[in-house]
Amino acid sequence: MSESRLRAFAERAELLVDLPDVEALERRGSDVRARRRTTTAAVALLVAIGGTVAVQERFQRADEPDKVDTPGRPVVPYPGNQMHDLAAGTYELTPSSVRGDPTALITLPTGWNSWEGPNRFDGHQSDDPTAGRYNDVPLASLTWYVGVLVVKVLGISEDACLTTPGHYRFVETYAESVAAFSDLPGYRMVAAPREEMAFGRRATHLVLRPRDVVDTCVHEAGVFLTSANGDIGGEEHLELWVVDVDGVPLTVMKGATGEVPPEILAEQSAVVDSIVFRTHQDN
Amino acid sequence: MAEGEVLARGPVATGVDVAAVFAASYRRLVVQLYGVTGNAGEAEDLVQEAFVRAYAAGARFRRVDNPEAWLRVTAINLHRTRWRKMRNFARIKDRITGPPDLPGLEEHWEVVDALRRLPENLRVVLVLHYLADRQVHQIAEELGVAEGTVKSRLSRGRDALAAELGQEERS
Repeated sequence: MSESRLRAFAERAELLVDLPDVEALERRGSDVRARRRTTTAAVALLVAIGGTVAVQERFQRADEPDKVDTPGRPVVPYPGNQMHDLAAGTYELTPSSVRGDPTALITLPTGWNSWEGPNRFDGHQSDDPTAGRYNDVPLASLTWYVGVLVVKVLGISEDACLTTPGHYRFVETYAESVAAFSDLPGYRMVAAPREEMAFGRRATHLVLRPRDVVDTCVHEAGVFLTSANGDIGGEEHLELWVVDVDGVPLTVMKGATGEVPPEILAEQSAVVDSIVFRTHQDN
Repeated sequence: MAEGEVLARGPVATGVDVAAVFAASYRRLVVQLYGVTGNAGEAEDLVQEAFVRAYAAGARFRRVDNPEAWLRVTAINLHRTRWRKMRNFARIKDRITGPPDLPGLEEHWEVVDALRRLPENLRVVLVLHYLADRQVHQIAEELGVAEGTVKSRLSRGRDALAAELGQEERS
């Protein structure tokens, strides 16, 4: 009965919908495409000129852990989710709100922005030191985005495209975290989880992609419940490591959305490679 | 016409232009989003924005298997994003002015109001099943949830809608 009334409503309503000017929609779509191409080309050129050299000089590779010299490196507390430019340097991230849990040192070149984790996107105004507060403007029309997060994950959404927090599969241990990430709603695994040494510690490496039908929502939905940042979204391309940091499972997430220039992806990899965990015993 | 009959086969699947999809699907999508949002103006806005994104996506859109499903998911996700950002304002505005309806739908307002009173997760599943003619496994794929979740929501949605309409009829 109620289903037939539902269908009757739809049949009637369909007759009442006015058609808008489809050419106006096409023009708007074409404008978006044109802006996207122009911005991507300009950023790719800038990065090609300066980015690669800076990255090569600044970063140490993850396969050379002995060269990491954290005690001598000036470390700045990471500002957290305040939208502004970050100066090049090493920052200390606090993935957990529990006092005494491990922290993570991460080294950034210029051009990165502060949020839950450091990120970079097209339109970022890194040449202007006062422009950080305006980063929400390019954020609204970006065509690519990369970010790095180091988080203590407390729960993983039970539902893709979740819009309201509260439906989480809670995790506590390293094994529970790996199991939950391996079955992330809305995502498929590109390859089986691989146990490996990463960041000098036992880790499991996963590469995930959203299923096609949800790829428009993953970065908006609350996919992960984290200790220090509450609920956070996913990305179109999500590579992550669940790391056993002296018994505390921490997760390094390397996310990318949109058509990211290869130079930026290389820079992002270098940022991930720079991560060094600092435990209570190190301090 | 069920959307899959034309849109998932034939010329659309191999790259028909967006205008053809617009002509075939626009009205149907607006009604579906009206069911999801309970707001006719919002529904039109969301579906138009989804078509803008389809034009912007270019070849990527032409390669999708089911353009209407792509547009619907895009519009639903846009709604969810906006809802997160604007929910407080929207609630206040709706309280003051009431959400817009399509003129000429007077005899169906009970159904529209009953839908509005349902939790969104039940409403979306009902709309996808009854208005978009999607099967349980297709809804599960579109929403990225388990089929069991869809079945459960469908069952609860049917009961809730019947209860809401029953109350309307009794009052």
